[in-house]
Amino acid sequence: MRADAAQLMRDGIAAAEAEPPADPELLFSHAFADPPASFDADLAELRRVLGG
Amino acid sequence: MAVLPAERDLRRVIGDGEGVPDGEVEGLSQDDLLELHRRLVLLRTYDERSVVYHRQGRIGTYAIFWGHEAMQVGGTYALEDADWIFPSYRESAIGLLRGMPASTVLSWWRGHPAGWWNPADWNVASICVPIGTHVPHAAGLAWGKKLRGERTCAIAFFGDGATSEGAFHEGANFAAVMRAPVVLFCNNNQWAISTPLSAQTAAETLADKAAGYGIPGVRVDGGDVLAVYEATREAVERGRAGEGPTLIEAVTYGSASA
Repeated sequence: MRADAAQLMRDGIAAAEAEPPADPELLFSHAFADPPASFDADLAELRRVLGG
Repeated sequence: MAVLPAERDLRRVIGDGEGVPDGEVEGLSQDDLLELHRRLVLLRTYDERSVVYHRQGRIGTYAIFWGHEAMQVGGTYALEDADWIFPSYRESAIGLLRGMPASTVLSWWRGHPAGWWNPADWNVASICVPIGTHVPHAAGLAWGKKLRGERTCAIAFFGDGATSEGAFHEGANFAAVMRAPVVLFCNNNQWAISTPLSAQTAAETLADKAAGYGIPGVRVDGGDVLAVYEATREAVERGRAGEGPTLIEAVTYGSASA
């Protein structure tokens, strides 16, 4: 029982860490009904800083 | 309906091997007891592994629930799959008891979008980090289900500190007035992060607050999974019968750091 639970956790950790990095746009795309005029430029700058 | 004072004695089923004998819970088979144990082991393992995961720096934060397993397992075992669970951050892994993948919950702690889920997939609402703000949500969902003629109940888990919050009061009052089928489940571990219960409330027990809403308040040993199950089952039955919410104060002790 304990071993099954431990294996479930190992599998869960492996699956969670295998997820590709999230697109930073996700952080903002739901935040604005009307994005500011500089949104696209700011996002491009963020992606550049993050190396994406 | 007459409002009775809250029960102050802690309900127990599992005895202490000395003065208090073991009791029995009607309707639980040996398979049920084994399943309850399996779920307790699952949550304890999740919690222990997650603490290590956090200490390794692989997740940014983590809320330990060591000693809360019996409350979460017993409380949810009294539900049907259609019933809704509203967890606080202290019940982050409660979705596992509904079959949610561990990777989903761990992704949530990692701040990754893979940790978002559709609440309707598991009938488990989003993990609530603001204190007590999910109590009105649970009350509203339960009332809505009642209006639709469904037999669905909801359960909201929150800590002792939440009982000082306005949202708790609003949710409890609304649920009571509307006779919403919701279980208000307080895991009283004596500490709201660093605030002891003595600095939290002047009430003798948190269950006493139920009288102010005109609903039953019961106290149960939060380490006794069978007593928690039985108390929650009774509360769910009340809700389904149209008798409204119940406040359960499950008493334990926060023996792990926040």
